[in-house]
Amino acid sequence: MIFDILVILAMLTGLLFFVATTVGLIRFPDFYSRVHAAGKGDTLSTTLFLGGAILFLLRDFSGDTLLTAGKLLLIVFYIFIASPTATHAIIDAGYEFRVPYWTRPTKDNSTERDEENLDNGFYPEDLKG
Amino acid sequence: MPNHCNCMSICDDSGEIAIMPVVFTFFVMLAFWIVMSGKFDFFHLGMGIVSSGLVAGLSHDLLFEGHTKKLAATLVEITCFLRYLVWLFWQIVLANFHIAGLALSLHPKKHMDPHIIKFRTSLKTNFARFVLANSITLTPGTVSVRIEDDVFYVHAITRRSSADLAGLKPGEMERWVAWVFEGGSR
Amino acid sequence: MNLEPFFIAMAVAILFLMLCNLYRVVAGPTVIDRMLGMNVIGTKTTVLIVLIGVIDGRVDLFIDITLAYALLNFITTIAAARFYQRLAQPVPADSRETLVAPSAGPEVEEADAPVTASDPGRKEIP
Repeated sequence: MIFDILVILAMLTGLLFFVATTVGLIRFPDFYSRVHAAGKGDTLSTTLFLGGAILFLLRDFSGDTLLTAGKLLLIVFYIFIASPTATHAIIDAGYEFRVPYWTRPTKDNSTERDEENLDNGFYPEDLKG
Repeated sequence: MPNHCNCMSICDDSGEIAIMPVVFTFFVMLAFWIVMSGKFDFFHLGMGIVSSGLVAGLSHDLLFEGHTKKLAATLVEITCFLRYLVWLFWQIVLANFHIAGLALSLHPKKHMDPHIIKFRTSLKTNFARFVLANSITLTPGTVSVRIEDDVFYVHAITRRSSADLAGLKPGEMERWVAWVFEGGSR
Repeated sequence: MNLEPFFIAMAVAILFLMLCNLYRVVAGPTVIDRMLGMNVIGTKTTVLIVLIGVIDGRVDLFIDITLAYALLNFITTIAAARFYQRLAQPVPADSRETLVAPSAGPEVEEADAPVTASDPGRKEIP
């Protein structure tokens, strides 16, 4: 009974973070902010979902379920390593691609459209001189 | 500037192959085999030992690249790393609440102030830099964009989230990583 | 307590969220945005396969598929990101494509290594 409640709580929280990831991916104004939403929301929500699955499996405790729970833990560990690395690869490719980034409008042009706030930003090559 | 990253060989100065990385790799691979196969009879365990030995012999230099510490020091390092992981997990929870609050707020653009900062790290080894970059990605409001030797480019989504990294002195996270891998003070 | 309806509801909700993410894949302004959307969809698929296994009651069967899918998703993202990163890097003016392999003969002189952004030669921080 207590296990069931824990499973439901973990999965609902994970779903909340998945919803936040999706909303952030759709709503945020530029590529870099979307990377923030995608890279962070996914790790914890995946952990919560797989943790819920582990708890559900361990309800009927035996050697086989323990092994399967170990494999699930392995996937959690793997995602903790792989997700930031994939995020880093994507944002590095975007940086090399010179995807323009959104900056906060200053007081002077706060009435302008967002597209005009897209900046070409700050790149390593610009620092050379 | 002295480059400390080139000490990648597994041989120490006397030219002998260090035995500890091979043994460590073997046991990690064997544990992975046992978890993935789930069979404990003689045949499967024998197959696991043979293939783990093969992999450990061929590619032991990949898992512990440039790692020259002794066994006791390695164990201390692993203990410190586990304590660091607990702190990191708390930071991940904070980061998720931060990004969820930002995404689900009514006007996310009012709270956002994206900018890119750069800073120099004092970490020497590649593995410590890798851990630092992944930790930066997982903590609230920052994503590591590019690493050029010891210069990190970090994209921060609010001014507050980059305050820890942008200072002149090493930030809290960098001190943690230095404490784990290079014996600095926390 | 029978949790199966709850798991099915979760799976349907994740499926719906994947559909929402597809908007970013279709409408993303740049190719990197599309890649990001596909990465997020892949992570959700990992969770979805585990949930299907739990519903079926055969997690030990589906867990291997999950692991393989997670590995494949990671490799795909890394490969595509590296490809587009290489595509975006400027081609140096003095290097031209040759139809001859570098080992074909001594008359083909080696082009200089392309100047990449991670060139360690310049590092002057003001």
